Amino acid sequence: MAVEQQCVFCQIASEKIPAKKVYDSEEIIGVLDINPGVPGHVLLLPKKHVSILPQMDDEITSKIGKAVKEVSKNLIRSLGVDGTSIFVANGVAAGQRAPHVIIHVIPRKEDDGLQLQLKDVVEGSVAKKNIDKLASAVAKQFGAEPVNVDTAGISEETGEFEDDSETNEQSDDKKSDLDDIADLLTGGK
Amino acid sequence: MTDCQFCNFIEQKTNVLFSDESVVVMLSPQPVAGGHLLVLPKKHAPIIEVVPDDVVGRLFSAANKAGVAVFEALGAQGTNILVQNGPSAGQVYNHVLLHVIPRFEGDSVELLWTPKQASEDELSQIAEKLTQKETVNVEKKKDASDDVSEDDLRVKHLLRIP
Repeated sequence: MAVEQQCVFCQIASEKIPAKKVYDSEEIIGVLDINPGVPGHVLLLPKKHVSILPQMDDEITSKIGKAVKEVSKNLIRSLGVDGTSIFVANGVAAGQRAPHVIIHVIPRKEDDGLQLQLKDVVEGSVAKKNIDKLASAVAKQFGAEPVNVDTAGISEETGEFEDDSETNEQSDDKKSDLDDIADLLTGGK
Repeated sequence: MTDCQFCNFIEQKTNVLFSDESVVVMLSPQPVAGGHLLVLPKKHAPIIEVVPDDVVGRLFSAANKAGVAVFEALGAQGTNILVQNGPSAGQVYNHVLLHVIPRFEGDSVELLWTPKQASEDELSQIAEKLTQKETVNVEKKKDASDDVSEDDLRVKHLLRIP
């Protein structure tokens, strides 16, 4: 219970702190960001406290997806924009600042000055060892058999298979712990 | 072979790490970071708005799982999920793509914006537009170009992208 009292977004979700509500369902609330990237920037929040998306219940995650679609449609219809950026930051390293999961749905139009965009493609950046690990980890998440990356049609253009043992060692040492990542957020606030 | 590059990737299983009846997880052919994954609907759709509700739910669930895989396999310190929905949002290919991007402290990936303060008036006006009742929207549809043609315009625009 203490977490919900300390978390500003839990307070917003339970309407103890006022906000401009633009979406409301049993599990999810959508409010306007008071410091938007552009006008109409919506924050979708699970009403139940979750620090990072990987810790969110699968059913709620699915419902978040549907909420995103509805809010995006509403923004385009109501504000006359022609697109939306949908963005989540999990972990401080990814730009997460709030201790509560936020899915940003941001109305977009040409030349709106919002920098949020993919750029700078990297060349040949994934060592084969890591592709194998990734294939196994993805399969594990979905309860499927890992794809054989040798025959998965991984093209030369996607990533030259670097034999960079130094890079591999660094990856092995960086043990990620989702709880630690989540704690960084709640501890810092 | 279709006009859609990603439909072709899906059919040929190029870079595909997982697929089921509605979603596909694959390595991005244009990664912004090592391990950049794409989660996409198996059935062609150019924008989120025309993806069936149940598939949208599965896409986000799958993107979340792909994110967990990235944390576990690469020791990532963070992940971003990004959808560039529409050309003004940076969409280049006319197939819905959910980007799952591994992040590390001090990496060169830049996905941010400058927040600006919004006035109470501005927020109120926008909130009002977004919360108008369904009946009002139905009336508006009869008067102005309705949502279907808006969708069509965007879809047509996206289909023109080479």
